[in-house]
Amino acid sequence: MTAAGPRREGLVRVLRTVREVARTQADDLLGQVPDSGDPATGRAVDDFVEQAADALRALEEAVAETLHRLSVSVSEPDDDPATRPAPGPDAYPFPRERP
Amino acid sequence: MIDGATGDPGSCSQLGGALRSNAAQLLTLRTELIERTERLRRDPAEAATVDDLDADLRLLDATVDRLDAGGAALQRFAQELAEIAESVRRLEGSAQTAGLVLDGLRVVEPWGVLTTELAQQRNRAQPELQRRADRLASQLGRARTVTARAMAEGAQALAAAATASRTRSLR
Repeated sequence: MTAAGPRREGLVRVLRTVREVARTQADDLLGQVPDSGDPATGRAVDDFVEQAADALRALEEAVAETLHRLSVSVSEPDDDPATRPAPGPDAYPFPRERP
Repeated sequence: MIDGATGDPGSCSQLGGALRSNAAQLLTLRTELIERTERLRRDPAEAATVDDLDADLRLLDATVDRLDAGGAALQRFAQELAEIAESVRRLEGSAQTAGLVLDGLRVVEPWGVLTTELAQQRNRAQPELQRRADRLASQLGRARTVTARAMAEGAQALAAAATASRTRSLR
């Protein structure tokens, strides 16, 4: 651990919590089924929920990347799989089909 | 309910509450993250980490703001839907008393044989009842328009924040 170690410990703990909370919230939001009583309003609400879940996923990814860089910069082995950022599209050898 | 036109205010309120509670939870974490970031900012050797954290905080800020605003808009919408549904129930009662029925938000005569006296009674009551129904339809339309606009603006801002964050991570 470097001199900045103790400072970073607290930071890593907060970042891990943010990542976990963002992931859980994204999953929970997609499970909500509101009934607005009108197709146009319903579509707008559904779109909002999808974008909110996606923004939370982006937050999870960004924080995972920050955690990964933090672990690399202090030369610690990144043995926590959850700390590694999600692989980008280039990590997949074949085009993936969208569900 | 107007043949389901007022939807389920409870489910809209539940989603609104969930969004606001998510925003509040993230806001607490944001405060702690800002504190930690500020401590690192004093150390020039941590500049790169601070840049990363600032970017994370920008996305966190945008997400918190939009989740809270979207949740508040849905809670207002749910409240309005519940009030309109209650007014429709009262209108239904008034229509029934006058020998009329509600078809959606149209005050119409039911099928069946009627006496001259009943026909006159319906004719007298129908215009005023229809005006009340029109006001409710207009109120419902406004609530939907305002909510759909708030949802669309929120979705756009959230998409922009997510894209900006992912674009940065590709650099």
